[in-house]
Amino acid sequence: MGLADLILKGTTSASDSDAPLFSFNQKRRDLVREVAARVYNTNLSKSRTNNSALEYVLNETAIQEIERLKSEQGLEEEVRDISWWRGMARRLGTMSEPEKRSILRELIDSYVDDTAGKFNPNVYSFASGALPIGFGLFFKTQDLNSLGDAFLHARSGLRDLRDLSERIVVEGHIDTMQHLVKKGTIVVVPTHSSNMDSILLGWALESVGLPPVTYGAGKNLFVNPLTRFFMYNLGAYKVDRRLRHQLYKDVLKNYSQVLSEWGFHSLFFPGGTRCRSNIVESKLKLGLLGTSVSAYTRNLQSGDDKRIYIVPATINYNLVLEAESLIREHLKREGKSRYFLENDEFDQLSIIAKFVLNTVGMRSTTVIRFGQPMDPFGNLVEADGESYDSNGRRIDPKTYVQSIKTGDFVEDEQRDRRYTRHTGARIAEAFKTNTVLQPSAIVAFSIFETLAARYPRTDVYELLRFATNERISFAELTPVLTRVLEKLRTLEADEKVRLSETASSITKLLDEGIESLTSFHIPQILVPQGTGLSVDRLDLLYFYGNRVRTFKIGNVVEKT
Amino acid sequence: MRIATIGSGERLNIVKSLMKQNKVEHLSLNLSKKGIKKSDELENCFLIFLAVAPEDVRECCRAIAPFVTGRHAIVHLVHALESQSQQTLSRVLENELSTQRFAFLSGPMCLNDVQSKLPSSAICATQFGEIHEIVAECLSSPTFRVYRSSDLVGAEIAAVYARVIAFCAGIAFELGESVKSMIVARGLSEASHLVSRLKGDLRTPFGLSGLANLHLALGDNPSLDTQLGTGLTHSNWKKTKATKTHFSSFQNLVLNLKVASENAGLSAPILTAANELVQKKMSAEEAMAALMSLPIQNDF
Repeated sequence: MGLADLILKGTTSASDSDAPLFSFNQKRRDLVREVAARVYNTNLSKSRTNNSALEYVLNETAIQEIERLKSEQGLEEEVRDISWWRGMARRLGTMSEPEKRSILRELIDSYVDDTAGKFNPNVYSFASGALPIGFGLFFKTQDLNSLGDAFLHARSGLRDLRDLSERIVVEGHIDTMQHLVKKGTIVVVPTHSSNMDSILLGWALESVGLPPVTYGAGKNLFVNPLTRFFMYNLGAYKVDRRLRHQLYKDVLKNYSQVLSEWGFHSLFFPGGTRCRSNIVESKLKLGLLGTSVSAYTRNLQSGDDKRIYIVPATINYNLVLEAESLIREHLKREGKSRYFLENDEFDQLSIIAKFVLNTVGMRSTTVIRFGQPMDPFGNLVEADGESYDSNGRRIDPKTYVQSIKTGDFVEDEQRDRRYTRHTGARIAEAFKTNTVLQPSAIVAFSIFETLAARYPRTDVYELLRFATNERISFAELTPVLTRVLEKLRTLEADEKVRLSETASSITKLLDEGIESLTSFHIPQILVPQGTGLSVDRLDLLYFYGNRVRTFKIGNVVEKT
Repeated sequence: MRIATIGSGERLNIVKSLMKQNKVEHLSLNLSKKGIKKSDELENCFLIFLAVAPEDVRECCRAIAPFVTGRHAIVHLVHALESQSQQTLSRVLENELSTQRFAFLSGPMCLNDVQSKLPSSAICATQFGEIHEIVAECLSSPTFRVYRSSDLVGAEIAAVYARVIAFCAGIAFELGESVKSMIVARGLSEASHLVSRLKGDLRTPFGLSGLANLHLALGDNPSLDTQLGTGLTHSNWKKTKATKTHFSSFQNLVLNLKVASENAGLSAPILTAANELVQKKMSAEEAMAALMSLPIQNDF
């Protein structure tokens, strides 16, 4: 019996659960049909006002796909290969209208079917229980042989792994969420630093008794048979970020909208991709967020007042698995943001193993914090499921999508874009106020600022290139750290940020910060040397310190 | 759909006059020290034109807030910033009311022209297409056009800046057309920079809410702000039609705009000169000399 059989057979039946995702498989076919029909009809309606609309859509899609496939031949499955696109583009000029429609319909069907996931309660049950030791499931099978003694003999490490649940703190407005999942559909919108995020969040939700959510996962995570098995069966839907054409964007938006309309709790990262700089994200992509307004309106139009709740969340790591490649990418400033990083740490088993073993042995915790839920219009929502404005007045969210003139529930693209921008700004604020600053970030920031003050005429990029082998004494660092902490505590008192529990004492903060910054990364970011520290990785120091830099606390180094 | 007006002033009278011409019925309410009588009737008035003094806007919002829903649209006509926050009025409304549907109605509107049915126009700046449609439906006529802009903050700032430029141009009335023209151009350039910093469209000050308002203010019937400037060149604004209240509110307006400009990280020589003048820290001659001695900058 293989692993898949074992898991699929399962021992725990969760089918009696009333969580919407548990009924996903029964509804999958209808869902795919509905999404495909909507995308097709939207494109068809364009062709009624513009005779060449279908040709334009197919041509634009073909051009973009041919260009992409010429330079990109990844491991991911393609919906259509390059020869199909070329053939279709060549024939397009002579195609009849019914033929164009037929090709468009088939193409949309393929994209939607490729996007839609599945949900298997047994896999969910297994994965939830196994996650504390389940990071291994994300290892590439071909890398298993390279595990070596470091992993197999690290018994203490494995023991620590089993205690992982104690090292992840899930906090915030959990009670409110527990009420809201019974009243409506929740859409979790977290910060994004690592490919581990969706896995950890899935576990976090389960650990506090919240139902599973469906989420968009990069198509690259479906390449590995093992990860594909779990992604497919845990309700993840496929997002191929290499595809830039409008037709695919329409598929994704409609898929996300129908999920919300049909009451499936979901999760997506409004930052779009992992944050390269480690600054708390403020520039959010609003496309998918906007689908919550459309979904709510459509439900109201069909007489269903089921609410949709947006839940901002922050994931606060002490160490980020992919820190090195993320900051490298950020510093390169390539201008165009590539989603796929070559040789990312997430693809390398040995690095994940090392990360897990090193970090579980540390005292620090990862904090997942859920902010106060809001409605699709950015108003805060309480546990009663009702929306309240900034002055605490209860408001009816239905009125936002009513026509001023007639009172009917109407979709209005311009209006909804305005609402979504507003909600996006509220989410960005919530990201900041729910950020829990970890010791690694505070210590890294303090050390970097101290070093930067030594070179007042040098900008960050020059500093990163030229300042090597710097040494900093504890006597020099402590006063800076004290000032940083004072400023952060003032912000915390104003509820503008949160500090890790360790920040209650400078000594604990420094110890834990140094412990983190001397673990995992090779070469080490810091190397303790007698009465001070040698700084070997200024770029990573900058990366971790950026979390604090988000809060613009001003000068913290006194001029001598 | 019912419509309401709250407040007073020439611009609101123009709106009322236009609605009367178009036979659009509306509820007319006023803000007094006791609040707003019949404010509960606003529950069913989904379009509200608001024209109250900037210092009263928050109080007004609090009076109407219990009756305002997400469906309500508020169109304000106030050419000023709030003293407390130096924010545009739409931002204050957004802070105080649960609706997000706001608009700003401005432009070279003159009550006499409107009543005489002479051609004139306004601009409705809003990010909500439906508000523009409804406002245009209520006010448009063969002799009145309602233009559209989605740059709400830009239009609000342009309209306030136009008042300050009109004041400065008023000072220059006796110094010749050349200097007046220079102040207009440089002032609009300053306005444009501020609008851009506040994420508006830098072209907006050159449209109906900026340049057109300014042109009207400097025309045959100079605005009170222009008259204030002219009066100050004679060291006596009291000879103008401007009241003490107007002078005092204009002082606030200039100061608020200056603070907003500084907060945006801009140095604005014309605005600074205007502030020195209304605060009586500088004479008109000194202000003009200071402006003429500034380092030469690019025209735009």
